[in-house]
Amino acid sequence: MWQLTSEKEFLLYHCAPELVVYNKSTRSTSLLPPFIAQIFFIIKNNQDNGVDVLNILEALQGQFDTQIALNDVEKSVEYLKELILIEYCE
Amino acid sequence: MRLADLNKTELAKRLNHQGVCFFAGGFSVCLNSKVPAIVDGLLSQYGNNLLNEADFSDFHINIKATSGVRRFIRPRVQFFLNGNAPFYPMPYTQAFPLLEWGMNWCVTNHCHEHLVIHAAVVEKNGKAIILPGTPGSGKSTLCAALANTSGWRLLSDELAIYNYKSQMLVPNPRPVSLKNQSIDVIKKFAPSSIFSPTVHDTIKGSVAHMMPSIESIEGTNNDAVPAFVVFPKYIAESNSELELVSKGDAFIQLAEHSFNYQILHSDGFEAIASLLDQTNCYKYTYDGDLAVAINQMESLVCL
Repeated sequence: MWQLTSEKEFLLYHCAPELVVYNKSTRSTSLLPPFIAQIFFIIKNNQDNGVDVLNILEALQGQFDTQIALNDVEKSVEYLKELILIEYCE
Repeated sequence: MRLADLNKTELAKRLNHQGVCFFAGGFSVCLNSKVPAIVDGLLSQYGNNLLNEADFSDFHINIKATSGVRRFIRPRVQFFLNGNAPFYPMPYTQAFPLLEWGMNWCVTNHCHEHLVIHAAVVEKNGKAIILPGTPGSGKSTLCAALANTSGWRLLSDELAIYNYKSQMLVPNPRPVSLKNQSIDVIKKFAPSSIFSPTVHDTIKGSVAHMMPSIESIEGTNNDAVPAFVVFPKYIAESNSELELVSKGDAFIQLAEHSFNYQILHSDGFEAIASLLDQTNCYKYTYDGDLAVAINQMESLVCL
């Protein structure tokens, strides 16, 4: 299940539909485009339960008027992981 | 007492001995120099600035000619801050631009209680426009034109200083640095303005400075409300137009244009966030038609 690493480690500036994230540990600033920002919020809003890629895909289907490929979700999740915004918990 | 109240002889004498302490933008400077171009530059560009009668100055600067045999072949000048020389010497003829660039460096390297962005700032009707720009973007040209237009106040042509605690822009009105073609463009646009002599063959090409208006200097203590961030881009023969920029994109661009975003750490992030909460952001492509550009900037602040 994907979960946020630690919200205390980040500062967020939500300028819908985008999201700017500041990682306090790495001092890096990242601009998340709408699609990835949406995935971030899906994971954030399900922090208690955790979500897997299929849950994210399902949640996204209801938010975009377009087909969404699983591969795109996986790549975006990988990107969020590279930014150390999320981590995988068993 | 203003710097122009000193005659040239008295100014040169003070620069040579105890130093001349004056307010340059929002900072106080104590300057020593025996270089004649510094005397001329100060009289040309800082005549309206108040002398600082207090004992304290933010920056103690000395512009000295280099010593040694080379001074006869290739005379050079060096910038000193508190006795230390942070830069390599530069050609003697570039003494005044060196002073200006050195003073900018002093601010960007020491003013960490504020967010400092590489941007011009002008204000009208209580609304300040921040104009961040890379060299060649037309930032200073547009800023100089606006600073010479009725009702506009110059806060800075180079350093937007954002006090993120009060969420206001701190004025730092100093001479506007014009380069290459923009020198003649602004001399033609504002022939009554006072320009320093043009210095050629600098690292930035030809450089001249334009004195800020006395109203801008007198407004140094009046902070301004940020209302717009406009990213100018000069493109010859383009259509002059304003296009909205997303706040996310503007955030990243402002961070890139900031001198101390990384130094301020989390405060830098919060500073840009609060700045963007107060402003609308645009990309501005313009073809160098200053009359059109001024109308378009006027349309923003008159909304």
